[in-house]
Amino acid sequence: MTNEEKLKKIIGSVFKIDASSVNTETSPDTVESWDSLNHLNLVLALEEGFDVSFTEEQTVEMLNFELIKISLQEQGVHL
Amino acid sequence: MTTKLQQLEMEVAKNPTYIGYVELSNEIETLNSSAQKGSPFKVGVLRNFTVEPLIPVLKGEFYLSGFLSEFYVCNFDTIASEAMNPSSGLYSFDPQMIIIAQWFELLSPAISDSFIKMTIEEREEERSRLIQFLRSMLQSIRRNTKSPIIINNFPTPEKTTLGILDFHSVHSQKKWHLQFNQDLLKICSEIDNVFCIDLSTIISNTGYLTGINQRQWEIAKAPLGSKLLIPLAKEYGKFLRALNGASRKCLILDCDGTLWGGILGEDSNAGIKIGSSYPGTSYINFQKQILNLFNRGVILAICSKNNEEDVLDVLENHPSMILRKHHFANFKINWDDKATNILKIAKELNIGLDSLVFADDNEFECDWVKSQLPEVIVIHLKGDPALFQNVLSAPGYFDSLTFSEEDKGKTEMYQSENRRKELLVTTDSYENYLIELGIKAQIEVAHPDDLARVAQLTQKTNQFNLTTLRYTEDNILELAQSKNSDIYTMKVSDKISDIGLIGVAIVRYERSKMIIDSFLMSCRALGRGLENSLLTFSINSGIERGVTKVIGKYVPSKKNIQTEDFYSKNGFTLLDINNDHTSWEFNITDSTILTYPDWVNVNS
Repeated sequence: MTNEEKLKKIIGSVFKIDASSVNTETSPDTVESWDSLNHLNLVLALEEGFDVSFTEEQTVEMLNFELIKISLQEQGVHL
Repeated sequence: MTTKLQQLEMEVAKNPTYIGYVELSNEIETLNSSAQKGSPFKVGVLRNFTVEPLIPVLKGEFYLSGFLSEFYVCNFDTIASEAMNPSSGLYSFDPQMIIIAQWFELLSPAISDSFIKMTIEEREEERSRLIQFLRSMLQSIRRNTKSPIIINNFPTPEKTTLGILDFHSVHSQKKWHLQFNQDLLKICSEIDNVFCIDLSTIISNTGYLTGINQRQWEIAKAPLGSKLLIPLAKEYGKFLRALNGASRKCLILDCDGTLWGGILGEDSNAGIKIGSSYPGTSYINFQKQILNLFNRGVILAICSKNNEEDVLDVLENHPSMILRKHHFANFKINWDDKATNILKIAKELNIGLDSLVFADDNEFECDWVKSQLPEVIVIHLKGDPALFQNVLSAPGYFDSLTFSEEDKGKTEMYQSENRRKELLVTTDSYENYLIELGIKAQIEVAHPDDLARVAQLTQKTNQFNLTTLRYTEDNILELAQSKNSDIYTMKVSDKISDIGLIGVAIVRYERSKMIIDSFLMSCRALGRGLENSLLTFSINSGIERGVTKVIGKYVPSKKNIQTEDFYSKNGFTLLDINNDHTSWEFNITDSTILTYPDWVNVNS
């Protein structure tokens, strides 16, 4: 599994959506289950899955697929 | 073919991760309550902090224990109102178990933030206030539901206001917390069916700094980090199993690479690794852990591909062995496949496959047993044998919430059972065998010393249990003391051994009716007419009290199908068929005479 696939899988699992439907449009505006609690679960799952620790800013800012990718790249994950 | 669910189950069992649990939990949610595996189970959660990340992990963990759970989580800071108000969301949800999850900083900001500024009296007052709050909350819940409550204790703070001095002071912050946890335990013991989960120890085992996610705490009041969620959920799982008769009862062990290092067939008795130097020490420690389980009442058995005489020689004569032949209730030492052998062990000990744990160092054997007997929990002992003892003890498969004298001699009883079977082979008919056994039954009103055992039997007995009502020691004490109910116990012995307290009947009286609330027998005593003797005694006692009608209930469960026709076989007539149970009645007339089977000698 590539890191991008892994990322989609995690997003899909946390928000209970099909991983293959995750794309650049994926954000709280398009995903109904993306509320603050699930956002918290997303952060936990990403930190565990990629073995990273986000900064406070990243945690708050990564509010769509692209921003999550950028945050992970800033943490040294190849995407 | 394995389903996606089975795949996720295996993944989480092998490599537990937060996301793995989230995926498992999602998949479980797609199942409906008629799913093949898992009993539906409702859990109410009262909390003062963000527990949401824990829920999927609990759901996954409970599923692995055989329960299809559904959760109700109360809103923030509504614990008191949910507990006090009889029509609150919690009670409408009708939970079968209640988890109270509280984080100390939110429970007492005063102690957390201004400990140093408070006088000693103020600190004492705060502790009394908190304890009183918790006590009245628990009492309110108890007034509204009988479901078990699990409340967490509190970690001692990782940094104290006085730093290195705190530990040395008489009135230290750390001591305040330790005392508070002690007081909490005390109220748990005062109120029926309340249990304390040792969050403080779970956090220290994980490590405070690793387990607590300070950032998420500040952002979302969600202090539990992903490293802490899994051990915590596993601990709740132990309570769930213990409270619902799902604790395991028997440990089946391989020999080579499990009880000792090396291969007996090649290395011989003198060459196997067990003794005073590593890795022999690891196997000694592992055996000590197993001996501890034996002393707790877990039945031990051996299933090994070896020559039987070689293994018995080690058990009897090897100078370093901790476990000896008499610790094991059954041996299957041969070259047959292990699943077949395990089935035989279960049959001979008369226990269900879902009571078994099998431990082996060989991956092939583990996978084979898992694939053939999915109900059996398989522990694969891999890698460093120094870790084996933790691999065995950490999951708490055998953990129970009671411990009685009977537990101590469990394996001996099963060994006697083997001797009985030998007698059966040499006797010409089953009835002559029963006469030959010389069975004596002592049936009486429960003695105060036996109440712990009675409670334990209600919690653990699944197969011969007409209503499967679970009671704690406190419940049983109440039932024993009440004028409107009686508890009868049956103790059995025969010429081979003392079998102990193995039957319980709990009856309630309503005017001229006697209602059999619970009727159960430990499975190792079945098939000897003892259940009829206990019923006869119970009805006779009712007659002496002047009842004219006896009502029995059968509540089907996944395991008690063998008791379905118990009342019809004993002269009861069907009264009513309900959704979840059938009722039976037995009318007493002047001519009613109930007798005991010829071969059972009752109260002589």
